[in-house]
Amino acid sequence: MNVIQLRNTINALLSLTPSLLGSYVLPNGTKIPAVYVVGQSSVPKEWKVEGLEAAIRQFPNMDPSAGVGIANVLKQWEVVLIQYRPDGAEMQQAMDRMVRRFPDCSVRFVQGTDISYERCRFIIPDREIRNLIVV
Amino acid sequence: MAVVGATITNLHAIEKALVDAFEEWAENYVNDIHWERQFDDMTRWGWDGDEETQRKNGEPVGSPRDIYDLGKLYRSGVESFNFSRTNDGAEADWHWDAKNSSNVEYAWYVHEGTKYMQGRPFTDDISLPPSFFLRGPGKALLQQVQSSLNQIRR
Repeated sequence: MNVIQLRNTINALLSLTPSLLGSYVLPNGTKIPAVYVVGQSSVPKEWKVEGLEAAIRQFPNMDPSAGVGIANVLKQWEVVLIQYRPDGAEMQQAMDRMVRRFPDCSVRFVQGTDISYERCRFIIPDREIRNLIVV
Repeated sequence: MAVVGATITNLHAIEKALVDAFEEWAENYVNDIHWERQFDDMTRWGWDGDEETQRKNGEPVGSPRDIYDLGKLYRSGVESFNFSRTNDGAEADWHWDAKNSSNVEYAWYVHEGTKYMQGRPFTDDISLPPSFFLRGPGKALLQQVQSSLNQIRR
């Protein structure tokens, strides 16, 4: 799995009817689904977030182990759902969809408070067996 | 005809060696070494920005900053370390119960992040099963178990 495949999967999963995904409102008023791949840059400050946002870390943690002529690579992708609407009710259903799509993930849920948005972090394991590179 | 057999004996000694290894690992590796590394090395969890910020005591600090500040959270975990043996095993636990000025435990805020700062999930290396044995703590536990079992053979 690569980050584009993961992004497309999360987008499709949370967009199923009823759609749970919130929106980014761009400076010109255009709305786009609130799914963002966080890498060298975060969501632009001039974008306004409404509802539930999915932030996907661009690069997974990688934990390799050696096999015979192969590299056994455990990648762990991090996806964070954040509820920006204080009275939003999408999180529970979004968590349900996530654990049913990624049943081996680890889940960390935090309730919203005055200093913290309601959020849920998912760590998704993704194992790959790769050929060794010999130079 | 050739007959090959094997037996396993001294099960009580093996069981004791495993629990001893677990205790040694929890106290001397996790509590004394691992937590300090987690709190001291923030580069793995990204950046809060390039701006210099201030610690609670007013001392300026660059980025990425560690999460010691007054050391309350770190100490609360390390000093809460508890190890207990039960009838069928043993258990180690830590309670990160430091409280902020509102008298609220704030470990979870540091761990998962807030509106104002990134999360620093300092327990992930211990608490994520898929990668546990691929990272420092899991490797250290395996080494400790190996060492403990080797002592039985002597």
